[in-house]
Amino acid sequence: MAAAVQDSTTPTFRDVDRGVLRVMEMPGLLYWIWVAFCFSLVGIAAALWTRQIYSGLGVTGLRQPVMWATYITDFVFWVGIAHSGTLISAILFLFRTRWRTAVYRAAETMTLFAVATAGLFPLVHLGRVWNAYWLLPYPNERFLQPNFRSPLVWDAFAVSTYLTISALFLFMGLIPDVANAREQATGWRKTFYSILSMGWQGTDEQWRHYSMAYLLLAGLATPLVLSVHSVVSWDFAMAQLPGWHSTIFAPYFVAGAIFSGVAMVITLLVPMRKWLHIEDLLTPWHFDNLAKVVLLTSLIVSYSYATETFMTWYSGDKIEQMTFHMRYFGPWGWMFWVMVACNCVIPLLLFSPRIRVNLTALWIISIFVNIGMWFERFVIIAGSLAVNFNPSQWGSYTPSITEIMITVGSFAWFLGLFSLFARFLPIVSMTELKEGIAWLRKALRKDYAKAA
Amino acid sequence: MSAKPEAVRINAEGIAAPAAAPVAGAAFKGLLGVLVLVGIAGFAAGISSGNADRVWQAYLVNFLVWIGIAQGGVVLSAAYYLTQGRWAGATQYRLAEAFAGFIPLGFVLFWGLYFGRTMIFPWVLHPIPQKAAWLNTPFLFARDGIGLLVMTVLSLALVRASRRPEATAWQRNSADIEMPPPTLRKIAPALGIAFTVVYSLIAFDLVMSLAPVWRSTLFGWYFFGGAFWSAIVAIALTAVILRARLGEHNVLRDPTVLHDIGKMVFAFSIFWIYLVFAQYIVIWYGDIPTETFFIVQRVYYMPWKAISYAVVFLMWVIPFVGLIGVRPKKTPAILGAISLGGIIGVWLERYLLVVPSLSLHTIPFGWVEVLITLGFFGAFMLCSLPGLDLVAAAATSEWQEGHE
Repeated sequence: MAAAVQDSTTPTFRDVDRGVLRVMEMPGLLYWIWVAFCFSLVGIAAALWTRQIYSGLGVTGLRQPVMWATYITDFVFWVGIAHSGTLISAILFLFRTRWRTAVYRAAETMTLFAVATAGLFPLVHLGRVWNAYWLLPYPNERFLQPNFRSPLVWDAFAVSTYLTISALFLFMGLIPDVANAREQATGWRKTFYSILSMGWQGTDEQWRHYSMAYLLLAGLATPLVLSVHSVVSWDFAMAQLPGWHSTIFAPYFVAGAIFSGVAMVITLLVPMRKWLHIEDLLTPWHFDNLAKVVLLTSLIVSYSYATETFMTWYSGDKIEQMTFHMRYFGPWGWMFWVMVACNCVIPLLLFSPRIRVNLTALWIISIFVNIGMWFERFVIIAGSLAVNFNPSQWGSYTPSITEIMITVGSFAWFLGLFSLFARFLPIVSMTELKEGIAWLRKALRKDYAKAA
Repeated sequence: MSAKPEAVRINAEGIAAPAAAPVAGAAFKGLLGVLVLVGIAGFAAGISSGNADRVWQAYLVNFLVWIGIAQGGVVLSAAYYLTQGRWAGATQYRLAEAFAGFIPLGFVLFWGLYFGRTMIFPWVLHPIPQKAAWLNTPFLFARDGIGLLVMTVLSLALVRASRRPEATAWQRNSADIEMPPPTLRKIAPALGIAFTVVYSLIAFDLVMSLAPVWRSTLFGWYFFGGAFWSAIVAIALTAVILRARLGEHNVLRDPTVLHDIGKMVFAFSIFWIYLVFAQYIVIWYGDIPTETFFIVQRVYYMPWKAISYAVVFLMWVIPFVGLIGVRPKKTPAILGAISLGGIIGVWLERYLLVVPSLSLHTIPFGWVEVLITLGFFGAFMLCSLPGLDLVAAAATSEWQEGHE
C-alpha cells in the first residue's frame, strides 16, 4: 500500500469520493445475515422486557439492597460510549486537530446510536414504565413531578439534550456528503439522499452558512460533552453512602466516558476499515492519535482510582474504609482487579509507538478497555450498594437471564444500527477529508504507512 | 524535507540575535531588585514585630501562586508538544516557558516553609493520631521536596530541549505532521504526569491539611487546574504587554495569536468553575458536616464571603462574559485587563484556600502581606527576565520571517 502512493498528489478528491461512495453500494448477503442476526437478538431482548413489564421487576436479579445493577451499569456504559463522537467532532474541531477528519463521522454515528441505546435503559429499569413521563416537566398543577432535586431528572434533561445536539450535529455534517451521494444515486436512494441533503447545491452562500453553523454547533456541543457525563456521575456522587459520595466523580466519569468511547471507536473502525476497504482513508496515523487519547484518558482514570483510595485511607472514616476494603477484597473483588488490569495496566502498552500503529494489538487493547469500563461502572454502582452502613443489611446480586439478554440485546441493537448506517450513509466524511487532503497524503506517505 | 528545517534554523538564529533588545532596562531591573529587598525586609519586620503567623501565611500563599504560574507555563509547553500545537510558532513555546526561571528558586523557597511549620500546619503542635502516618513533618517535607525536585529537573530539561534549534525548527514548521524531536517526545508526557501527581500532593499537603478534618477527592485536580489557568492568564498578559513594547514588527501583533490565547483564557476559566461546581454540588447535596464546614466558612459568612465572590468574579464571571465573541479576545486592552484581573483572582483564591483555615474571623491583610507579595513578585520577575527576552526574540524574528 505504501508503495502505491509515493507521490504527494494522491489520493485525489476523486479517490476520496470513490472510496467512500463505493462503500454505499448495495451490500451482499453476508451483510444482511449479520443485520438480521443483530435484530433477532434485539427481538429476544424485547420479548424478555415485555415479560418483565408484565410480571414486574421480580424477573430480574434486583433485590434489596442492590436495586441498581446491570441496567444502570448498561445505561452508564452506553452514555460513556457516546462521548467520543462529540469529543472528536466538536472539541477537536475547535482545537483544529488534523487527524479527526477521517474518524469523526463514524464516531458521531456511534454517539447517536449509543445515546439511543443508553436512553432505553432508564425505561427498562422502571417498574412501571408507563409512568416514565414523570421525569419530564409535563403540565401538572401541583408540581409534584418532576422532582428537580433528583439527579435522575437531571439525567433526563442532560441525556435528551445530548441526543438532540448529537443528532443535529450528525445530520448537519452529513448534508454536503449526502448531496454528493445524491448526484450518483438512483431509485429510492436518490429520494432518500435528496431529503437528507435538504436542497444542498454547494453554493458559496450555503458553504458560508454551513461553516458558521458547524462552528456554533461545535461550541454548543463542547460543554455538553462535559455536562452530560458529569450529571450522570452525580447519580452516584450525591448520596451519603460510602462509594457514592465523591467530588472527583464528575471529571473522572467524563474522562472514563471518553476513554471507553474512543476505545469503542477503535473497536469498530479497525475491522470496518478492512471489510470496507478504506485503508487509504483511515491510516495508522489516525489510529496512532486515537490511541494517544485512550492512553491519556486511561491515565486520568488511574489517577482518579488512586485519589479515591488515598482519600479513603486519609479520611480515617471506618465505614468508608470498609466499603473500599470490600470493593478490593470482598466477594466481587475480582471485578475490581479486572477493571484495574483493563483500564490502568493494559493501556500502558500504548506508550509504545509501535503498538499504537499495530492495529491488531490496538484492537485487542480497545476490547479490554470496553470490558474494563463496563466492570468499573458495575463495581461503583452495585458494589457500593451491596455494602452499606449496616452489615446486617449487606446483600449480594446475581443478574438474571432477563438482564443478561437485554444487555446482549443492547449490543446487538447498537451494532445493527451502526451497520445499517455504515452501508447506507457516508461513514467517512468526504468533505472534511478533502479539506484536509494534504494531511492525509502526508500520513500515507510517511513512516506511519510502513508500520501498517 | 531534509533541507527545509536547516534553512529555518539559520534564519532563526541569524535574526534572533540582533532583532530584540532586552525586555527590561537597568532601571526596571533595579526596581525589581528593590522589591525583593522590600520583601525580605517585610519578612524580617513581620517576624520581629510579633506577626510571624501572618508572615508565614503570606509566604505560603505567595509560594503557591508564583510557583503555580511558573510550573503551569512549562506544563502548557509540554501540552503543546503532546497536541502538536503550532498556531504561533516558537513564540507560543517561549511564552509558555518564559517564567520557568522561577521554578528552581521556588524549590528553594519551599524549604523555607520548614521554618514556619508550627505556624502553618495545625497538626504539628496538635497531632492527629489517626492521620499521623501521613501528616507528620519529616514525611511531608520528604515527599513534597522530592516531588518538587523532580518537577524542577524535568521542567529545566524540557525548557532546555525546547530551545534547541531542532525544536524551534519543528515549532515553526506547522505544515507537517511530524512528531516533535525525540527528547521532547519523552520529557513532555513525563512532565505532564509528574505535574498531576506532585501538584495533587502539594494541594493535599500544603492546603488541605491546614484543615485536617476536611477532604475532597477533586481538590488536587482543582488545585493544579487553577495553577494551569494562572499560567495561561500570565501568558496572555505578557503577550499583551510585549505586543505593545516590541514595536510594529512582532508576531504578537497578529490578531489571530491574541485570539487563540484569549480562547484558552476563556475555555480554561470555564473548566475552573466546572471544577469548583463539581465539588460544591456534591458537598452541598451530601450535607456532611466534616465536608460542609470548609465551604460554609468561606462562602456563607463574612468576612470571607466577600473574597469568595471576588474570586468567582475575577476567575470566571468576568473572563466568561468579557471574552465571549471574537472581538474582545483580539482587543489587547480587554484581554490584558481580564488577564490582570485573573492573576489577582488567582492570588485571592490561594489566599482564600489557605488563610481561613488559620485565621477564621478576621482577614489578616496589611503591610506584612503587601510587602511579602511584592518581594515574591520581584523575585519572580527577575527570574523570568531571561525567558521574556527569548519571547521578544522569537516574536520579532518570526514576524520578519513571515513578512520577508
